[in-house]
Amino acid sequence: MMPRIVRVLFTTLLRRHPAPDILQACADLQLNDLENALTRYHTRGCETCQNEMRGGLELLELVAAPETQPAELSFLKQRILSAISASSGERQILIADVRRMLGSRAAERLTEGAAPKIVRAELAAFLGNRAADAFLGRMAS
Amino acid sequence: MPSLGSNSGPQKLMLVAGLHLSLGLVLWAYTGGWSELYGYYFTHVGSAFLISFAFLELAFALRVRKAFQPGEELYRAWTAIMVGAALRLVGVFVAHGLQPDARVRDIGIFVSGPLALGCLAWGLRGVLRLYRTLGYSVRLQATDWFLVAGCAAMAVSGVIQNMISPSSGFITDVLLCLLLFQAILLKRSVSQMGGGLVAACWTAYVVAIFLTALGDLGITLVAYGFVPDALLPATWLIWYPAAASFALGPAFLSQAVYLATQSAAKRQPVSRRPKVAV
Repeated sequence: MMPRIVRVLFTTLLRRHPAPDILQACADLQLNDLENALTRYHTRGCETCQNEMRGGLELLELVAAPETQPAELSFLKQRILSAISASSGERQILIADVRRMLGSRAAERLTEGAAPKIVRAELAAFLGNRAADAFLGRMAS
Repeated sequence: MPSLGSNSGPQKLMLVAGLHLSLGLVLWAYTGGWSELYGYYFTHVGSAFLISFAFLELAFALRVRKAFQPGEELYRAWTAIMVGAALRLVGVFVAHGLQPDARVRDIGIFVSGPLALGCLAWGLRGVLRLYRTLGYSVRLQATDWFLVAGCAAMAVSGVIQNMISPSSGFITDVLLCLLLFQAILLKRSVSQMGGGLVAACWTAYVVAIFLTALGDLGITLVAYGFVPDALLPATWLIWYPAAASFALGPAFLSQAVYLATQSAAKRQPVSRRPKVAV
């Protein structure tokens, strides 16, 4: 089922720009990836992830705004796509690395949406604060 | 020799240890256990292996300890483990590298035995406390209690044996009993993590302790004539995988630290938050 937030975003998008290029934009966003990313980040993600979500929302609002020019629209679509794929890609790398270091139990916690800060505590305990900070530096800040 | 800065240290260690053990087994099968060649294998190649792996254990332990800062949970634990590794290196070098007389050799064995094991036991105490703090609490199963009872019996027999003929061997027995108990607790805690390099590190120590206990049992059985001559080399060969496991412990954790810092470096240039220029 499509998460509520995705439905709202796409409804807004289609209402403001009921044009074929917008429908294409929706397809370009790789709905499955977007859906997965939003499901993970929306409610249970850490503060950084929620900030990212807000960033994504702002971008989508700009896309949806009637005054947005076609050139800007194209640019924004690219930014949304790269932001979402970078976020979910990085998170997948993070989960894979955590599985390799701390095992599947910690990785499962991350997959289920636990904040990386919780996993950081375990990383710091077993590998030291320096390694944990290096690994999850931006998330810990 | 595996590079300490690489990402594949433990794999290389296992490869070298596997090759060395295979060579020993092939020679055992080929010569039937007694030959000049087999003697050369144990006296020279075997000694070089034990010293090299004790050195690598110390080098990896030093590297891991550097990852921690004073005050952190495992700083003291890794300090104790590192001191234990240093003592093992000194003891192994004196006992096997210098090829000394029996008295000096006994001193070397005492340093690499009870002293090094005592430090390891102290270090593992901190590790177990950390596992408990992180919620990896364990309940021993019936088979665990059976093993613990076996260890206790071994320690008690060591103490009784010491009363009959005083030696430092009973200290090793008592320490091994304690270490085996810790190893069982550690194995149960680690199994809840679902794999990973941290779990591999402590599993390597568990294996090393079990092999050391087995080697110690082998010495006792040989002393009382319970081991037939044909099987005697098996009681010697066991020390090689034990030495390799002791080195693998810190090597796995060193790899985890390497992975953590390298991954961060790789991800650093990626921008997470898009900047909108409109």
